[in-house]
Amino acid sequence: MRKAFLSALAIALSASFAGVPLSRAALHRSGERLPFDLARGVEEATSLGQDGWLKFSHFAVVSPESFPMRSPLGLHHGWPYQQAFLFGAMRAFGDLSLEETVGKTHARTSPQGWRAGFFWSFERRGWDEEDFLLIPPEGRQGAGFSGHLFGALVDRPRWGISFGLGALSLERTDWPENDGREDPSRWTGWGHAGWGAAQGWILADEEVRGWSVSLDLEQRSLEGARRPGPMRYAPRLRAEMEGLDDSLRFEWEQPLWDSRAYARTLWSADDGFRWGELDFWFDPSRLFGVGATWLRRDGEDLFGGMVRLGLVEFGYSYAPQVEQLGGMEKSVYAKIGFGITRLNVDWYGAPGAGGFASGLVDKKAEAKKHGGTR
Amino acid sequence: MRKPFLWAIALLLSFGLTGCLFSAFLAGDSRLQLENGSRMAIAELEAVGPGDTVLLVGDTLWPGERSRTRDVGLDGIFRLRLLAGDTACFRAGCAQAIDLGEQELGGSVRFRFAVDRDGPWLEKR
Repeated sequence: MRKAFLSALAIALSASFAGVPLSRAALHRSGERLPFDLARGVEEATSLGQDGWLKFSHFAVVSPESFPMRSPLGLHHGWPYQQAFLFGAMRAFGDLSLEETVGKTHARTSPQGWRAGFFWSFERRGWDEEDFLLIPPEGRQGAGFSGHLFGALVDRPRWGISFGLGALSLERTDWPENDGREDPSRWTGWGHAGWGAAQGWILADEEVRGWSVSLDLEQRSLEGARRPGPMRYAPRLRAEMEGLDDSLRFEWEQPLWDSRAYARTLWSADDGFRWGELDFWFDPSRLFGVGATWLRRDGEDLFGGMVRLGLVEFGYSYAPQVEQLGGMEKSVYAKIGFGITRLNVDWYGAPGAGGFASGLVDKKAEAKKHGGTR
Repeated sequence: MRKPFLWAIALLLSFGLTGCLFSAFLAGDSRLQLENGSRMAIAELEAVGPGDTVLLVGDTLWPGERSRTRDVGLDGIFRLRLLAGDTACFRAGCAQAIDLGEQELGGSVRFRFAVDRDGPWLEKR
């Protein structure tokens, strides 16, 4: 009985480690998607008016046989990689005094005046014949992209307005053949504006490469929501255009239960339903959670999911990851990540390599600050 | 200087300079040697894909000979092919291409080409 169970487990494991081979075309598409993922990541980091943020993540393959690459010559053994960091800080100038606003449902401390700051976001993704931590090997069959997005931010939390201006550089790190396509290496301008719940960004050089407008109506505990109100169940909506296929896409994140259960879905104006996700987080800071996704492409359904255990996330055909790094499907991977953010005076865990930024207020400290009324 | 700081630098250097984590003990370079264990002469071991061809070993090997070791730079599963003919035929130019099927390359491999009653095949050593 035990033997049968073990052999069944071994078969299941070997099946879940033998992934579908990657293709260079899929890697190229994920490289072209990199600028938009960078811009989205910056929006998620800055959307709540934090003072400072620091994040990094590293993609790790659980089994070396997981993700081979199919080339015109054959099947190459190798390693996909995806590494990212994001850091930045905001500092108040002029009027430095803090203002405490305590409403029926809200309690937060914010500076009276203007703030200015900077951020730097970096990501590289691709595939190479050897795996690495810092210095990429010069594999003859490798394919990869790296992108930097950096800029300056100015905001006034009291009025809820923010502006940003920056630049994005996208570079192909190797792969000189490029399959006959144009060289995607370029510099692009980045602009951002926000007012209250509405935010938007645009990426443009000689032409507009992409834009996004989002409306974040949900009231999170991170922002100091003191009592559950109806706005905790308000959705987060996004409309975006990626210059890749010039297709308008809509994203909808709907809180289902108490900052813990969420439904997310992405629709494209051309193709209809792209993917849907059901998430359950054991705490609102999203350190521990499980998610299940359903991705539809070219009439084929791909079911996957992820389990996040603190700093490590295990995934299998997880739709946001399949979208980010094309071909990461039908095999188990791990993502090691760390994120922390500072909102006015307190530090929060801010994991979230996927999903929107969220966090949890230390309830005891919050209660002490506001006279124990909780 | 504090000790944790030094440890952190040592760790970063050890990771950063190797450039490969698993590869250090799973695979390394990709070297290949071909041995002729048949009574034919063989030449031009190639990897043949659906859209590309790469010459791996260009030496002509008489029966019993071994090629020089080549760094072929290929780690994966590839379809191999070589030219073979009996020694007289080879000189006359009637050697034929023999499909050796999909073989796994990577690390240090020595292939021995042999012919038995089932036909030609590659023995991995």
